Amino acid sequence: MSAAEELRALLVGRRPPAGLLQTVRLELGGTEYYGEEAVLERGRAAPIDLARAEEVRGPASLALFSDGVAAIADLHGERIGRVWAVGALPPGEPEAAVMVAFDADLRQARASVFLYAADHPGATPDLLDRLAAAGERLVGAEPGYRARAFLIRAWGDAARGAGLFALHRLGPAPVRPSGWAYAAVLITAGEERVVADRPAQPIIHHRL
Amino acid sequence: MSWDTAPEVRSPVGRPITELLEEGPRRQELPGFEPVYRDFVDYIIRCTHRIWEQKNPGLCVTHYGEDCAIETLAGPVTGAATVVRNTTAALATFADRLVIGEDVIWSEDAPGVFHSSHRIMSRSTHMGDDPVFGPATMRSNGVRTIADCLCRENRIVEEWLVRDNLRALWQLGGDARETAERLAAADREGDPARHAWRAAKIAEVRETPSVEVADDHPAAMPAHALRVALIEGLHGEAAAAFSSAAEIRWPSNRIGFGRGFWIGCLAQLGATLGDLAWRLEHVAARPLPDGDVAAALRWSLAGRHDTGGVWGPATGREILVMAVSHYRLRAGRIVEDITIWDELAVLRQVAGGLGA
Repeated sequence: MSAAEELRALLVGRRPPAGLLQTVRLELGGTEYYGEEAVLERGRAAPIDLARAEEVRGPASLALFSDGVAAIADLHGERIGRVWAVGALPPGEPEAAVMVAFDADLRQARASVFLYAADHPGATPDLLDRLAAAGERLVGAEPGYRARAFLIRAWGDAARGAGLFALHRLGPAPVRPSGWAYAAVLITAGEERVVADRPAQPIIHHRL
Repeated sequence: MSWDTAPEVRSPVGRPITELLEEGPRRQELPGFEPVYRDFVDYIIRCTHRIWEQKNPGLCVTHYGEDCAIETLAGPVTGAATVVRNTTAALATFADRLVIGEDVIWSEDAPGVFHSSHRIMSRSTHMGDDPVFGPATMRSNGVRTIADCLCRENRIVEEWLVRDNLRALWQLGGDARETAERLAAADREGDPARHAWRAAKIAEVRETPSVEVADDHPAAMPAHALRVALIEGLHGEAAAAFSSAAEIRWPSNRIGFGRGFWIGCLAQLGATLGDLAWRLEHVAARPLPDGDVAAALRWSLAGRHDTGGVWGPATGREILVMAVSHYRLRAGRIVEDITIWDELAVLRQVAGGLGA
């Protein structure tokens, strides 16, 4: 079974014949499902059908893009490691969290996209340029929000490549909701497709 | 030994459990270890599997030193017999616990003396009553633990255990403040001498120098970053060790990305604890399969809770934090930081428990 077939299976709750890595984990809607049982349960409860999704494969990464939904996976050979399901999906149940007060920018000349090329040895410079531009557009598409995009996965070239951004959003004043979300980007020679989580994944902040 | 020797002793990252548990010939010299163990990583993964998942807590007798010392922030545990008892109790409560090894970052600190930093995701169902987590809830839970073990001749002779216990409590529906106060009230009863370990540990943090790390060791950069940030307050300078998009996972679901988020995690500690002392206790590093490097740092922090902040109003109490950080390094920068410490045990100290 190829990695793409395995990914499609787990997202609909079907166990691949060879099983899944014990460390497999699925992040979706602010929730993390860890281990085979939890991942397959989630798939069965709310299947994500990517049977006809477009595939972008790298040496250690895989992406499936369909209309409005994408899945990005870290690979270990043909085995699935960590998966992000992004886009128009039913929300998860985010866990409680200690709130961290932080400044994404560290300077007044604010950056919108945080991209460190050496993090992505499998991505060519021309792909990273296109992803940086896509990240800028993602951030700009959040009117009223102070949004910042962190490129955390990228592979391929500008003719065919993919990237995954973690997005931090700080809402408009005076009381500013904040939270993290993800956006996946497919780059081909003639196309750029962006699949993003719904705005503002809520974080349940706990005061200790 | 150099951190990157013995490449045949592979990290468990990305390897299925069936492969990890395959039996076969020795791949590494392990004097005094049972023949079933193929190398030191195999020893850690396999003995954990045998004890927890195959339900043989009695194996702790042959895998722990008779008078081994286990340090946790909730108090020390001494002796193999106590480890058997505690493991049995944990299995009575979390009977279906899976102890999923994510990585084992190890070093051979002297001939035949090995040190492991074993990052685990433990998943289970809260099926039985527990003195900390309360009556059975049948809720599912999964949190990370890092167990640092010093091993020789098939036995763990010293262990340092950190667990993300506040996250576990939340997953089981518990209330942090209420639980910490209940535990602290129990701590204040009985002989206070049983908490003397904490004062001794704080003295060690304040008075004993950190271990030295060679400049060319992968742990040197994160060690420098932690020291410069926590002791010198140069957060921005320290954060240059991180990729600008690094992933940060700290306890109690502090999950975010970027240098600013890491600074935010450290600033919470620095803002609320005065007269801060930080001590680096151990480092190790190993190659990862994809060319990255994994580094493990065990460190402790002591400070006076003299300012209100993340743990509520100031109490003036001396607070101890014991932590282990696992880093993924790529092209000379940190791309991932997984740091674990027991925030429930910190809140217990804030509430006047554990001798605080």
